[in-house]
Amino acid sequence: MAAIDIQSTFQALYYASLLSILSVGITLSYMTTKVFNFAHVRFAMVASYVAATIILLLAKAFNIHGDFAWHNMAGMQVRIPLPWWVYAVALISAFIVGGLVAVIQYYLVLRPLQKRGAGSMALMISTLGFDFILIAILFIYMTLPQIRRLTVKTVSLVGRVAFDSLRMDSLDIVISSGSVTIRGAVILAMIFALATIIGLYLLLTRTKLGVMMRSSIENPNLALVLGINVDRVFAITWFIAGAIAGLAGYLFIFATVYLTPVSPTTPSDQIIVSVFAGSIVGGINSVPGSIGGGFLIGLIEKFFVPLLSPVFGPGIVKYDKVFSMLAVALTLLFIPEGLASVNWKRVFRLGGAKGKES
Amino acid sequence: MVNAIVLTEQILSFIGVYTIVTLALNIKAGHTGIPDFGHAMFFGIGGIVVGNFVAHLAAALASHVVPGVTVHGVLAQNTETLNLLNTKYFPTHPGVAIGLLIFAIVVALVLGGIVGWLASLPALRLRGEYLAILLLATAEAVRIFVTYTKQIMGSTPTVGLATPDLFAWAGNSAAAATIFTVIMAIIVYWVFERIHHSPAGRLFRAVRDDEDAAKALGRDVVVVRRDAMIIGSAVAALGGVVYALNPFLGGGAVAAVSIFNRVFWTFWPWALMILGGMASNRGVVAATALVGILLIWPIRVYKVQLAKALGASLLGLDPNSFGNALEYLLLGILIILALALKPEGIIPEPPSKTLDFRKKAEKILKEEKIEL
Amino acid sequence: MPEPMLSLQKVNSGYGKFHILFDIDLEVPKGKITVVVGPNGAGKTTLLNTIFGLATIHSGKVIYKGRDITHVPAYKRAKMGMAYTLQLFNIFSTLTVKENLLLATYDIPEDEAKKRMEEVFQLFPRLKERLFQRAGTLSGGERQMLAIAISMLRKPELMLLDEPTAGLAPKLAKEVFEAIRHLGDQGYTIILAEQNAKGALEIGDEAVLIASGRIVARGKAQELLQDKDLSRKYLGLEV
Repeated sequence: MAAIDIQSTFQALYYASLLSILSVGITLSYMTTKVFNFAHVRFAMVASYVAATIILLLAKAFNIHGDFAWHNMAGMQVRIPLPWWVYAVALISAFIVGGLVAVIQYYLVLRPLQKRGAGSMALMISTLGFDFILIAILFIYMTLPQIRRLTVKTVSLVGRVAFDSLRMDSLDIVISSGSVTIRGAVILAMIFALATIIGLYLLLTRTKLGVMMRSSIENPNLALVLGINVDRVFAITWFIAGAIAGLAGYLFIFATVYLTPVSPTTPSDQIIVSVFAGSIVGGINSVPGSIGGGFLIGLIEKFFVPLLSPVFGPGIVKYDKVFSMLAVALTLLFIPEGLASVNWKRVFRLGGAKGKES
Repeated sequence: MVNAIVLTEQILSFIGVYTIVTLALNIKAGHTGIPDFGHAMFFGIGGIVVGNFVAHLAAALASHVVPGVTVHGVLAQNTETLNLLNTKYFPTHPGVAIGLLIFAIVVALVLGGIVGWLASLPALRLRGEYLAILLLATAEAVRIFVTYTKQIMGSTPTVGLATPDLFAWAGNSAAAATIFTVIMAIIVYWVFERIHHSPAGRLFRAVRDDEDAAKALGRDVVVVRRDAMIIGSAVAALGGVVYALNPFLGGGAVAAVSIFNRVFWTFWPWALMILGGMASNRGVVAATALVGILLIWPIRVYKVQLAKALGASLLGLDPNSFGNALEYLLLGILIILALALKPEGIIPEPPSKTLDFRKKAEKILKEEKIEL
Repeated sequence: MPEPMLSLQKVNSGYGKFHILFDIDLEVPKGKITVVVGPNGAGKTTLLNTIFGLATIHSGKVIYKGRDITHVPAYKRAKMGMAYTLQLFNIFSTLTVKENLLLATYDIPEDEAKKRMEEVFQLFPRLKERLFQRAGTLSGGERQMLAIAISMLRKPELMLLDEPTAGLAPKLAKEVFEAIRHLGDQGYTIILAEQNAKGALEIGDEAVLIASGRIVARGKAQELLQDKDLSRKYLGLEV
């Protein structure tokens, strides 16, 4: 396999975009509640399930499932399996469901515990507890007869247990021209990442709500004194974090073959550590930092590590996450506030020779 | 239907291994305040010791005795080689098997301790949640490295390595493994109780409660935390050995996806520790036993009946998946309720006479007229 | 006697499980300056936090303008005409000056907000020049201006001031006290917590002395200032 070709470059861009929109959610929730949220990527899973079932049910209802049409567009073959509005409905649902799950966690778990004076470790464990509850809900959801009709049996790697999974791979839009095939999910991921960056930038700097969010994060007491309902502002921040995770969940349904509530190979369980890595390497207290950090980690794993394969052999790509974990360790030990906290002007003035990690 | 004896053995094995792993976590997190979210990495070492080191050693010893067994075969023809060892070698060589068992325990303790010490070197510069994430990331890096390194876990990461049955010489090897599991758990509990009531144990808790005061009294906080990391990690590796040798737990094989699984060997022990009570050994055993007897095994064994009793089928739910869901649901709800209603656990930390560092430090500093 | 602006009845409060104030009874008369003095760590800031709802009230009642506000959240008290100038971190340093000022007026009708903003700029033209600068980059004096401007924009009926002269040179502190007296003469109701007991008592109307979380003396500010025993024991003043 050639180390880098167009196809795998696109794949890397997809992955990097996915990580960056999930990392920013980790950062948003950390900045408000000061808790590393282990359930964050599960928000995406929940949204993914909702969006997937909406697509499958709508397709069934309108009898369009499996009736794939191939269109010719300016010499390119474009496969569009379903009408656009089916995707749109699913997208909006994913966005809202992701946000609602986050708000539920904020109001039902984190706020009550904080009011009882729980420490940061206790809060972190509670996010694990909430994650388990979400997994359980997904399992139960999967067993509903209406949903079960849509599922296939897959086998988990651990204990070889059979799971009911949603089979999703036929949904993606594929644009092919000659030997190059671009999956719609790749383009969609980049659009989502860009929309997240622009949307958050406008929200945080140009709107009243955004200024309230920033003020409540910096100094909750002063915000309260000025009459800002900090609790509600934080809940809205959580909604936004969850809704962005919902976008990531929407991507899962195009990019993965099966959806399973939990397993070491489920998207959420596989990428959660990389998502944390992005948030921490970029800067746990910086919104732009975490977006960049997620993108960087994605590129390290899927672009830079494959570049090493001529030297270390193709086996190196399997160890991709080792490199991002190394980046986390170095960041935490030397610049705990992440790359965003580095005074880059000074670093460059001291001589451009110094690497990024220094 | 499940045989009552087998069910008992299953429950005891579950309680045994989780008692070991959770007590090991407790000495780090509960007693000393190190938020180890990379606990699974130390547990996994025990699995490697059994699945890889012991198997190699056994093959070397057996290669002259049993035809077809080669050292090379442990990785190359894993299933066949281990099958030969388990059926043709261990049943007739109980002395070797017991020797290997002791070897496994000693090597796991030493290796676990060394890795724990290595992890403590960079880690103890950090505190709180940053340290937690650093250890989580380290464990994840180790897991991925182990998963894809053929020399450690064999060529198929998901299948892993078949484990040597060191109890094959006993009439009922599964029962022997269960008894071994329980004995190890009792020993670990006894040792940790001794530590708890020793000056070292009080020192651990004093560092957790008031690092500054401990420092002011000239106690090297880093050394204390390092010691806790070494002890806890060594015992976690022992837990891995117990897991790998117990057919009810490992199922005759160790794979990176199971022994380095952060949900099973990091998050579960955390949940059990919170439930039982941080720094309370008795609480940990109680929580493990409670979850083991009342919740997990009945759900795993009787999930179909349970689902029916709860009316899952009336709702159109598939009883099998509903059983899976119940496990996660109960654990998740228990964690959150425990944190909200009983943050000190079902059996809170016994009020031992800790060295009250702050009072002592204040007294000394008052004489020297320095404000703490 | 007219109804007090604010009264505390047998209030016990603190933070979470920590109990700091014990059985506080206090009446704050309308249009007067009530000075809260006491040694360091006596609970002056906690008293202000209790009044504003930033502390945990374990028992007792807080009555504001005849209404029981014990369980009213802090942000709602801000909308009921209370303002509070915190001692530390009293501006948002990562926000621009303009954003700081906007935050103080976001719940006020736009026309009114514009009018008040103009008033502030007349008083502090410096702030208008610095409008798009991050508040964290302001000088110490400019920060204090911004903090006061934020409080002014809210046109409060009851002002809580926590150590407004902390860290200021004596001359500057005197000016601040005079300004507060001036506000008092205009009819503002003010609760002033001060470490600088002498300066505060000189301009105050009513006074309470707190020590170890309890009110140990109360009366007219001038009387407290004259009380040699109390002054020496709690305030370190030589009269």
